[in-house]
Amino acid sequence: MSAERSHDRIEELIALDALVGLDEAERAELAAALVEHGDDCPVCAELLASTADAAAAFAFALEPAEAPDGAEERLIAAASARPVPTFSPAAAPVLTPLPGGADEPTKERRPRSIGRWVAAVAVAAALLVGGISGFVAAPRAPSGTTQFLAFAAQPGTRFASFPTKDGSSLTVAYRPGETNAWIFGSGLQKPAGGKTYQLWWGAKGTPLEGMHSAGVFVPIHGNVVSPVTVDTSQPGTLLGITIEPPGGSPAPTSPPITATTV
Amino acid sequence: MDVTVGSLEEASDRELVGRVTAGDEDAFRLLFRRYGPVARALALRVVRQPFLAEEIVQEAFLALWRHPASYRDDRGSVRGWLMATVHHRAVDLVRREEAQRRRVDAADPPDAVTQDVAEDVAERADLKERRAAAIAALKELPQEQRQVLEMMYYQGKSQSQIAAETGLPLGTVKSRTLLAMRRLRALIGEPS
Repeated sequence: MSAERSHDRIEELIALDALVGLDEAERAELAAALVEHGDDCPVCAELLASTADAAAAFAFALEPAEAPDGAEERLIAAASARPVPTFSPAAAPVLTPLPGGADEPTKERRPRSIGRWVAAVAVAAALLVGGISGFVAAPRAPSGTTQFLAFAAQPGTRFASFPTKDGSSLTVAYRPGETNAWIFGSGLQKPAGGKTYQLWWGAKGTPLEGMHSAGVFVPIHGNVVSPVTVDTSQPGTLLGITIEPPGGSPAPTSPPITATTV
Repeated sequence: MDVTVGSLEEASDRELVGRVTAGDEDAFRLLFRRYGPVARALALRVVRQPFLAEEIVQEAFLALWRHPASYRDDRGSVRGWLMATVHHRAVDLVRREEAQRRRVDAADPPDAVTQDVAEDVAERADLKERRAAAIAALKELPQEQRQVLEMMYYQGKSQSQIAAETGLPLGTVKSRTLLAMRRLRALIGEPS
């Protein structure tokens, strides 16, 4: 049972997350650990809830600040406005929201550099060697998380991050010349109505209906670590994510909610 | 929706979020009135510039309006979730505009823990109680632990940055962070 596992490292990572203090390596580690424990792990759920409320103490300790004149009416007016149109497959990647994030246009967050992922790979390697999180070293068949960490730790693995907001993250780990890849992320909302996220890939300039399915995934505890299949042999390959009916669709049924290139 | 103002005022945060999910603008306004002032104070404390703070607060509440289902009641209180949303946005902005922040960093606001709760006569009674409880909890933390958390939370600094600025070993910063958050969870830990 997940409750019998050690939660020491998860506790540490959740605390850091509440302080917006996770680096990419730690974010990947937390996502993998939460997925490994599952959506029904009561200890993880309690840690997530109590840590969020504890961090909020810093906000509630401050003297409240009165709103400037008209702030509420400006908010209501903005809420009544239609969301700004988002993605065009022919265009460069545009910041668009994942459900659970905001959907106002803001500055694009650049995909994280490969250099910063050196640390992530190092952590993954350390996890594999040392079994820091416990579950990695557990004497059982390799889990999806273990396979992901092994994949991420191999030389030549690259990472393409999707623009996201509000502390959420979503990244594809891939190796040029290979079609096996992984998507992992955190802070993601589970699509409503049993729907699923679906990852698509296509060469630069591919129309929406010509995109290829790379796989479907649904977050657990807001986190995802899932194998996908992409062909990244061509520079500029476009990756996009849509929300699709259960099981996925043969072709995207809507424009991607977020996209990036490799 | 057939809801009187009185019933809305008495509604819990979670009930209000449920009404927002159904498109209830009055419930949305009420949540904004309940937590907008704290959200604004937090954003202002982090980004230091009123117009940016206002933008962050508006974006955070718009996110609630447009994606209320992103709140999960098994992940903590509505207020904690709202403040986390504001905090993430504020820290993201600070980190993106670090250079700009340095230019206005001279006048450091007072430590939240040293502020006088009793002097704030305009504050709602329940918020005042919550503020007093938050301050009391923070005061319970050893000063060296609180310092680390405040540098992370209010200034958006990484543990490595804190280690570099304070001269503390990174391991010490990490252990203080964990111990302080563990203690804070126990102090704040009423059921959400």
